[in-house]
Amino acid sequence: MPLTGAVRFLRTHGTHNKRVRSFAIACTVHVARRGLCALCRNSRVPGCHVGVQRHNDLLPGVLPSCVPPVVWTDGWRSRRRHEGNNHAMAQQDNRSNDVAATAPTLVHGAGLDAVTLVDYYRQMVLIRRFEEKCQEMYTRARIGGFLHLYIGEEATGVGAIAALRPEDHIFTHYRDHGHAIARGLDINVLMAELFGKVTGCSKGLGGSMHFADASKNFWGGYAIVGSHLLLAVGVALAMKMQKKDSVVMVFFGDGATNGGEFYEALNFAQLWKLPVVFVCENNLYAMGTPLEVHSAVTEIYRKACAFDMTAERVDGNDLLTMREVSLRAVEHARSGRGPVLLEAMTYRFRGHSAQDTQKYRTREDVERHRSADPIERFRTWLINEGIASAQQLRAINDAIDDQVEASVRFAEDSPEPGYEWIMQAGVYAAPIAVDPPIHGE
Amino acid sequence: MPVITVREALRQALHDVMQDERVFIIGEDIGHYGSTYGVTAGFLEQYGPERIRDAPIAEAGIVGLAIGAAMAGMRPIAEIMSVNFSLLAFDMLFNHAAKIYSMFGGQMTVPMVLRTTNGWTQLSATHSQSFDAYFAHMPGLKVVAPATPYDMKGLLKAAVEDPDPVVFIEHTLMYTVKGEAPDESYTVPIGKARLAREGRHITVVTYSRMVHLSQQAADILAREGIEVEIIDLRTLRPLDMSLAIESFMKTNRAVVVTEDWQSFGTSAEIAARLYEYGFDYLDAPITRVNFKEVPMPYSKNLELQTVITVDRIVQAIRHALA
Repeated sequence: MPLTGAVRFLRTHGTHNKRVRSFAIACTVHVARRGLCALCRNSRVPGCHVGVQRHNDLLPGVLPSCVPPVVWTDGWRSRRRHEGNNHAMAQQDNRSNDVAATAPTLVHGAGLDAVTLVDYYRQMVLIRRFEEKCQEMYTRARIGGFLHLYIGEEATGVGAIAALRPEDHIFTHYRDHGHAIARGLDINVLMAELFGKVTGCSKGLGGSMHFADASKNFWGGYAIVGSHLLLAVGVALAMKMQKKDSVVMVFFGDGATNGGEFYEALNFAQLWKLPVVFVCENNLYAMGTPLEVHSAVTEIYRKACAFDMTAERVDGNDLLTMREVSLRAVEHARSGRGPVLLEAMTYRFRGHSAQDTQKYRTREDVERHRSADPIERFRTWLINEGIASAQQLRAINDAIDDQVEASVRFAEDSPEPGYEWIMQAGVYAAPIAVDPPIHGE
Repeated sequence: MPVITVREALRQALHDVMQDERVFIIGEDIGHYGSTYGVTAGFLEQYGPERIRDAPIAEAGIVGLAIGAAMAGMRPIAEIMSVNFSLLAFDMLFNHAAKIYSMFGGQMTVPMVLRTTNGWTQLSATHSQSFDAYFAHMPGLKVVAPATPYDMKGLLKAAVEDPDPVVFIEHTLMYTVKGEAPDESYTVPIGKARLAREGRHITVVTYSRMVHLSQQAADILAREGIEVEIIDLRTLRPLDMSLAIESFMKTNRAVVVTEDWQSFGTSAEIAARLYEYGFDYLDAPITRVNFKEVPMPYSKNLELQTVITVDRIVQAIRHALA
C-alpha cells in the first residue's frame, strides 16, 4: 500500500485499532528513514517538525515516541531569519582590531556591527591557518602524538562560542584547537603546548588533546569520548548550587552520542534542570565509522526527546545561524529552563587524525563538502553585504600568517622541560612525601 | 573519651564537614531510602535535597558530576553504595579525577571524596570484591582505608578538606565496630601509618578490617608468648611504609594481611617494599594472607573457606616464625 494510501486508510479507520496503530507507527518510522514525510509532504528533513504537528492532528497518539516535544526551527537547512533586517538594535562593541576597524561600520541584522562580524572571520581564519601550520610542524616531527584537526568545522565552534559570556564555561573533546582559539587563548601558548614546552597552556603536560585555560573558564579538551559531558554537567550543578547564572557549553561529536555517559549526562542535566548547552558537532563520522553505521538514529538531536529536552538541528557551517541558535539555547539554559541539545551539521575536511588514510570516504565526498567551505561562505557573504572588502579580508589573512609564524618561533624558543618539571608542576595539589621513597625515584 | 561505632564516627565527620556550605553528598539511596548502611540516615531531612542529592543509578554520572562540581569550587562527597559498582565509574576516576590536576599543568584541582565500601556476606561473585589495588595503582588519586572509629572520623574530615581526589574505603562488616573517638572535630593526616599493637617477634602489616582480625590473632598467640606487632597502614596512596620497615628491622619477620586477591594485589606491593628496604634484615620469606583466588562463592561453607579468618592469620604467623 503506498504511503498516501496508508494515511487515507488511517483517517478512515481511526487509530483505536491496535493493528492500525502499529501500522501507522511503522509508516512514520519508514518515512523518517527515507528522509521524507509522507504525511505532511512538505518537509525535506528527516523527522520534520512541520510534519510532527500535522501528524498529531491527523493521527493523535500514533507518533513514535522519538519526536522531541519542543522544537524551534523546521530543520537545519532553514534560512537565516535575520537576513535582510538591517534595522535591528545596534550593539556597541569595543573590541579593537586595526584591520577590522577600517571596515565600514554597518549595523547588521543580528545586532552585530562590522567589527564583530569581521572578527568572527578572523577567528575562523586563525583556526584554519594555525592548524595548517600544525600539520606542517607534525610532518616535520616538531609535534608528536595525535593531531586531530578542526579544519572545516570552524563555523560551529566560533559561532557557538560567540554566544557565551566570559563567565560561562566550556568543555570540549580532543579536537580542541578551534574551541581554544575561539575562546581567545593565545596561539603562542597553544603552539608551545604542541611542541611540549614549559610555556604551553598546560605546561607541556597535555599536548594537542588537552588544551586548557582555567582563567578563561575553558576547562579543557578531554580525550575519552563522551565522558567529559558528565564533568560539564557537574560544573553546571556547581553553578546552580552557587546561584550563579553561568552556562556550561560542552562540545562532542556524533560518535559520542552512543555511549552511556551521553545518556547519563542528558538525564542528570534535565532531571535537575541544569544550565548546560550540549553541542553535538555532527561531522558524519565517528572516527572512521559513518553515522548510519554507528547510530541507530542518525538525527542526533532526536536523542534528546527521551529526556523531554529541547533540541535543535542547525547548519553548523553557517556561522551566523550557528551563533543565533546558540544564543537562544544559552538563553534557555541561563533562564533556568534546563539544558538544550544542539546538533550542528558540519564536516571535517582532514582525516580523523594526522595518520588517517580516509578509506571510509571518497575524495569526491570531501571535495563536495569543501566547495561549501564555511570560511569561504562567510567571506563571500561579508563582501556581498558590503561589510568588508576582499582587500581588507586579505590583509587579515596576511596578518594571521605572521601571527602563526610568530607562534612557531615562540614555541621553538621556549625551554624544554626536564624530568623535574613533572614533580615541579605536580601530580597532586597537596603532595605528600612517600616514606621511604619508591625505589628508582 | 566516648566509645562509638564506625558508623557513628562517619556520621559525626559528615555532620562536621557539612558545616562547610561547599560540601554536598551525591549518591544512590542516600536520602529518601534512608541510606543503605545507615551512614547518612536523617541527613536529607536535616540538610535538604540540594545538598543531599539522591542520584539515579548511574555511577559514572555520580562520580563525573562530583568531579565537575569539585573543579568549579564545590567539595562534593560522592557515595558509591558498594565498591563493586565503582567499576562503572573507573573511567571517571582514572582518566579524569586522577589526571586533571597534572594533565592541565596544575590549573585545576579536583577536591572530591569518593566514599565506598568493601565487604561480603553471601553476596557471591559480583558483590564481594575489593579493588583497593586498582585505586591505589593510580597516580593522582589518594586512597585511604581506615580501621578504627577514631581514624574513620579524622581521615574522612581530612579527605574532604584535601585539595586532591580521595577514595575513602569503608567495609560493610565494620560499621558496628566500636572504639574511642572524641566528640570534637579533628583530622588525622592522610599518608601516615599507625602502630596498632606493639610486639617483638613478628610484624603484621595490614589495614582496614584486617587490623581487627590481626588483633584477634595476636591475642591468641600472646597466650603462647608470641608478641605480634601490628602496623595499620591507614592510607594506601601515598603509602607510608616507614613504620612497617622499622618494625621489620626489629622483628626480621613479616606477614602481610590484605583482604583482596593475592596476584598483583596490595599485599604484593607492601611485601615488595619490605623486601626492597629490609632485605638485609630478612630471617624468613614474607608470608601473605589474602582471599583465595576464585570468584566469591555463595555457599556459606565455601565463602568461609575463601575469605580471611583469624585462624588463617594465626597459621600464617606460625608459618613465618617456623
